[in-house]
Amino acid sequence: MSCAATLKHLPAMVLGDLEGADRDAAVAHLRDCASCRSERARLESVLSAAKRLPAPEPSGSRRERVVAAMAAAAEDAPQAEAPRRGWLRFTMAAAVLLAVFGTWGVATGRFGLAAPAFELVAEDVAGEALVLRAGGSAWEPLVPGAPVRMGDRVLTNGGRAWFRSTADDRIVLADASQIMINRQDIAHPSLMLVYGELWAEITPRTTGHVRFESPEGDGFAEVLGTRFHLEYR
Amino acid sequence: MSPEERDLLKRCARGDESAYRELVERFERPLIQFIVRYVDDRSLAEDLFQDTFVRVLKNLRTYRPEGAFSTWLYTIARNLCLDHIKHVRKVKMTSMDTPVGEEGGKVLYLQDVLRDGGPAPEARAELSEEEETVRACLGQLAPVKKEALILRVYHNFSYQEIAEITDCPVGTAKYRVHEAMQDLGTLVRAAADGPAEEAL
Repeated sequence: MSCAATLKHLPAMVLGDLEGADRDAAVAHLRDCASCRSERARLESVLSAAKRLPAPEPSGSRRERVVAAMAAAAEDAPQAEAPRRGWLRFTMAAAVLLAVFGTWGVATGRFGLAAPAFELVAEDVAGEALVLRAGGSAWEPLVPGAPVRMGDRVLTNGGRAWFRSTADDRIVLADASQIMINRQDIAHPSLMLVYGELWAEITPRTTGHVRFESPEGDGFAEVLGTRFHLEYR
Repeated sequence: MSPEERDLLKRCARGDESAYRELVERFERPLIQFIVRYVDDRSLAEDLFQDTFVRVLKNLRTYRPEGAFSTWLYTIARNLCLDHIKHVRKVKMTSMDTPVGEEGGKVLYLQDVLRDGGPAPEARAELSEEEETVRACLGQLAPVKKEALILRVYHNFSYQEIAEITDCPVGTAKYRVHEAMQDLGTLVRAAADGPAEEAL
């Protein structure tokens, strides 16, 4: 085996992964090559130093803090319609997304709205949900069947609301959350999660895309497929 | 998954706080060490450690135990670490040479006042020069290589398990571990050679 081939195998060798004929050939080469032996010793030393690096030890205060956070999460968790429907949940802890597309391939222009205008219709409301109409100044109760149009805001306060869009997208707004239809662009409608949490199942478009936004521009998201969960607190 | 572990998770799903504590205690040492080594920031690691268990709890209802629970747990922790790394890349950067104030007539720069996220000074003092160099070089590895190496070297996961946790084929996992070891060796050598080259 040449020096180059031996050097290539050294990482596997020091990690104990090199076996069979490759290992035999490398060992034979190392017997006769001081330079490669030196390199192996150097790598072994690096690995040994890496293994000696200190790491935090268990701590009672850390444990209690985590247990308290788990208990709080269990209390806060909404009854999980979304998981029951088998939707993919995607949670982001802080700043949320700039734009989430209904599906991949937006740049190709293969997706778009089937309907000429984008609006939501409340399919169901549990507990209290309020709507503030565009240009209005008073929140009013959101009732099933009520439309939510450009500039309208909806918030939930001790409740939850289910929506279906004109493009057949489904949105579930969790408790203590607010959304707003933020842009009325036929090809690129936008829904802003002002705060809180929602689940969405997006219908694939034939052209264009739908955007989901947060009020802050400093965020990111990953979405798999057309079902996801967003959280912005 | 052992019957005991299954029972523990069922108790967690029912909201039993003593089960939460047992679960955290069982995985605390290896998991906090994994996260610290991944993000190289103890304060951040504490947050991600907590987030991992909160996310475990939130997803227990939909969890289908097809493999070891530990594999799922590490997958969640790994994804949270990756999310953080991706987020940090989007954050606006400020130069470490930015002046932030003045003290005793001397200009203070950001790099003077920021904690670098590594070991505390007293812990750093306990590291040998080589260990300190290796720690710094580990932080320079590509995330996918670093995570694979950490899982292999510090946690003794099999390549099959590493592949499951990092969502890649087994051959890729093995390749990444070996590449990470190679890169680490190269980085440590470059760090050691650095001052000599400057002298030239």
